[in-house]
Formats: sequence, C-alpha cells, structure tokens
Amino acid sequence: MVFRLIGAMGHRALVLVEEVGQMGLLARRTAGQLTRMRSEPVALQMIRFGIRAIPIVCLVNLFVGMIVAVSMSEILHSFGAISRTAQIVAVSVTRELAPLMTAIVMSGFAGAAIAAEIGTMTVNEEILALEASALSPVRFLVLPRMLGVCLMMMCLTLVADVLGMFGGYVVGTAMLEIGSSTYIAINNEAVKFWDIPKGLVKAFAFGMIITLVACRQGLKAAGGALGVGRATTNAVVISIVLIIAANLCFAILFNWTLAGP
Amino acid sequence: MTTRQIRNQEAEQSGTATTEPEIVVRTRNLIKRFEGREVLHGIDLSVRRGETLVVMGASGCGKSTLLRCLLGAHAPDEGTVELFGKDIHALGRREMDDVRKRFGILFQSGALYSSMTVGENVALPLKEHTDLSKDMIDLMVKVKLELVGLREAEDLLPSQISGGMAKRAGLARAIALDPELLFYDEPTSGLDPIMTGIIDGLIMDLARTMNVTSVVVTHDLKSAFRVADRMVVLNEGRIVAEGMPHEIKGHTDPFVRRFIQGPIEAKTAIFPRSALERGTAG
Repeated sequence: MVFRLIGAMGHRALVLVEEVGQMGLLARRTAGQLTRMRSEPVALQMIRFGIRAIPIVCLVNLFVGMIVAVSMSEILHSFGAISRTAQIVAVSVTRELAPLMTAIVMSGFAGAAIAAEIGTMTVNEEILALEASALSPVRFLVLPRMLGVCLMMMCLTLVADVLGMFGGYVVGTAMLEIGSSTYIAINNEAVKFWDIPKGLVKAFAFGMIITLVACRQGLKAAGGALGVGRATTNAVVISIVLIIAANLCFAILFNWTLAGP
Repeated sequence: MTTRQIRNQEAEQSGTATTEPEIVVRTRNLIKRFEGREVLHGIDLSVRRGETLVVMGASGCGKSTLLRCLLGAHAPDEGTVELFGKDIHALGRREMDDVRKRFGILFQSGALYSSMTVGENVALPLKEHTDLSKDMIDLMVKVKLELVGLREAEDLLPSQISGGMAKRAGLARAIALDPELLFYDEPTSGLDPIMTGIIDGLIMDLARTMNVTSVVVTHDLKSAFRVADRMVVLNEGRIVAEGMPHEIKGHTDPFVRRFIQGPIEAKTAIFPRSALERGTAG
C-alpha cells in the first residue's frame, strides 16, 4: 500500500517534471521564432484578450483594494494609525495583489480560451495540416498569443494598480473618515518608483506562464470534446498553481535578494 | 508557368528524366508501436511518379497510422520512410519543410483553419512559401477554387460550408503549391454518391493532367477501384495483398475476398446465427 502510494507520487512527480521540461522546450521554440514575428496577429491577440478583459480586471482589483482597506482598518484603528491604511493598500496592491489578481483573472479569461481554441484545432487535425504545409504552429499560434497576452498583462497590471489604490481610497475616505488629501499624500509616499517596474516584470512572467501552459495543453489535446475540456481545465489549474509559485520566487528575489533600490 | 512545370523543365535540362519513373514514396520494414502494441508490422511499399496507389483496409488496420508515418507526423520505431529519395525521419526541420512543400494532403475532415475564410485557407501556403504578389495570389486562389468547383465559396468560413465543400476546399489548399505528391485520407467518407464521384474525378484529373503521384487511404471500395493504378490491402498492420485493381478483385486471400465482397452473413449480438436457425426451424 505504502509502496504503491510512493510509486504513484513518484509517477506524478515525473509527469510534472516532464511537463515543465516540455514547456521549456516550447518557450525556446517560441523565442526562436521571434525574428519572424508579425505585428498584426499580435495586435489582434492583444485586442482579443487584453481590451476585452479590462472591465473584469478593473472590477476585481477595485474590490481587492477595498477588501484590503476594510480588513486592515480594525487593526490599524487599534494602533491609532488608521491613516496608514493608504500605505498598506498601496504597497500590497502595487507589489503583490495587482499582478497576482490580474494573472488569475487572465488565466481564466485568456488561458482557458487559448487552450480550448488550440485544443480544438489539434483534435480537428488543423495543427497537423499546418505542420504538413511546412507552417510552424509555434509561429502562427503560440508566438502571437504569448506576446499579446504578455504585453496586455503589463498594461492591465498598470490599470489594476490604479483601480486597487482607488478601491482603498474609496473605503478610506467614505468609511474610515480619512481626509482625501491625507490619503493621497500617504499613498503617494508609500509607492516607491521601483514597485511599478517590479510589478510589470512579474506581469510579463505571469503572461508567459499563462500562454505556455495553455498552448502546451492545447497542443497535446486528444480524444475529441472530452480532451479539449480536459485541456482547458488543466490549463487554468496548472497556470494558477505556477503563477502563485512564481510569485513566491519573485517575492524572495525582490524582497531579499534585490532589496534595493 | 507553374512551379511544377518549372521543376519538370529543370529535371529534363539536368538530364535526370528517365524512362523508368522514379520512386517517390518508399517504406522499408516500417514498424510502429503505441505503448508497446505493434500497429504496423514491417510495411514495405513503394509508389512511382505519376502513380495512384490506394491503401485499403478495415477500420483500425493501421491505415491512418501508415499515413501519419508517411507525412512525418509519427516517427517509425523501426524501418524507414523515404519521400523523393530522402529518409524523412533523418532530416532536420528545415530540410523536412523543403520536402513538405513538395507534397499536399487532403484530410478526412478537410481540416480547414476555422478562423480563416476558404480563400484565406488556400492563400496561406502561397503567402508563406512563394514570393508572389498579392494580386497573383488572389488570382491563384480563384484558379484553385475554380478547379474544385468552389469559386463562390471564397469568402465563406469553414463553419458556413457543407462537409463535401470542406473536402473540396481542403483539396484546393492541398494543391495550392502544385505539389508533386498528394496524400488523401478517406477522401470520400461521409459523402453522397454525387459528391464522391466529383472527388474521385478530381483525384483522377490531377493524376492525369498534372502527373501528380497520389496515395489514397480509403475503405470506400467503389471509389478505390475507380481511382487506383495499384492497390494494397492492409489487415492488422500487415500488407496482405498488393497489385493492380483486377488482381485485387481476383485475389485468393480470405480476408481480401471478405473485404471486397463483404461478409455473406453477419454475426451480431442482436440476432445470433443459432437463434435465427432455431427461429427458422421452429
């Protein structure tokens, strides 16, 4: 029984390692196609996955900013430092929450759509048809989606930063009775210049994770509609797990290793 | 002048044209396994230039696997696959792409790119693999669609056309680059007799007028005997018969006879023979 359990865990670990390796290979092949990139398909993907995601990203991050402000208010009130709500919201949103929440929204919004689309193409032999015509699916399908999602992840994270802080501002001024000018002053003081680029680096990396996982799951889909459904579910679940793991790595890197400037 | 005519002219000028047509497709002892299960057991076949070879067999006999090995989509576990004299599984990506530009394939479902119109599907290989101007590509697309009788469907999406039209559009895309070799995967399955006749006619016309070498994988007997110059019959991953259509018709192998003539009586779970006999006796 124990041996069987260890064997099953070992098998799962091997599958995971192989999957990560395959995604690495896909990333390398995608990078190899960068010189043959065309701007039109990338712009198309940016509109498809980025522009349409703006309302949902705004809404989610507005609520996140509000939740942080409400959650922290009680503790800060007990310390007599209620005005510091602005500082906590600003730091947590720009450093962690805006890129993370945007990535989670995009893994459902873009990752699922990409996995379903490429998965359907795979089971309908469209991918085989591309390859048989000496046309690279990586160049035609993976590269534009990856660049489109990565670039839009960065733009959406900037929007999310603003909306998250605005959510905190609404709660701070309307419910916690912090003066508007005080809140804005503390908020501006709390946000360091480097917090924004660090958030954008994370957003770009999360975008890569979302598209690599979704494309890989789509390209290996098999077994008709059931296979496409499985690929879509796997794409969302795996990308969320990897995004959170990557966020931990970034937190260690930015806060301990690259603590300055 | 088409790219194919240019190639033929080059071959004649270089003196490579011979009386005996060259072998375009050849497999030697091709073995393919999936998860330890052997699907193809040492297939040896060859197709000469301009010839139409039909590969027949019951469902699950390994026809599609053989086709995928010929396309380079599945690597053989043993043996070799040669297209135009080159072992395709020993080629690098770029060399393989050069070989791929010389053949076309018609998939069972058509496999049209669903996000593109029929015209864009046909134009894609021309845009990517030739230096033709946009006007010339548009003209070529119209010519290819006219050839398959789909001129009016140029601006339609694959979801807006019927199965038969999708197959014809797939054929127009397959011949976009004037290939020397065409693979057909079940070209007439699911089609009505009129559409089957049209597709068969197209296969024969392409072979006759453009000297295209064809490999047709099918289990549609009527269509197979109509288009074939030579036939092979597969059973459980082995070639059990090979020859001209009249030779296959008169073949003595029990499986081939059963496959061609159809089983005299079907044994089904619903009406087992013993039950039927009992019913008759009673």
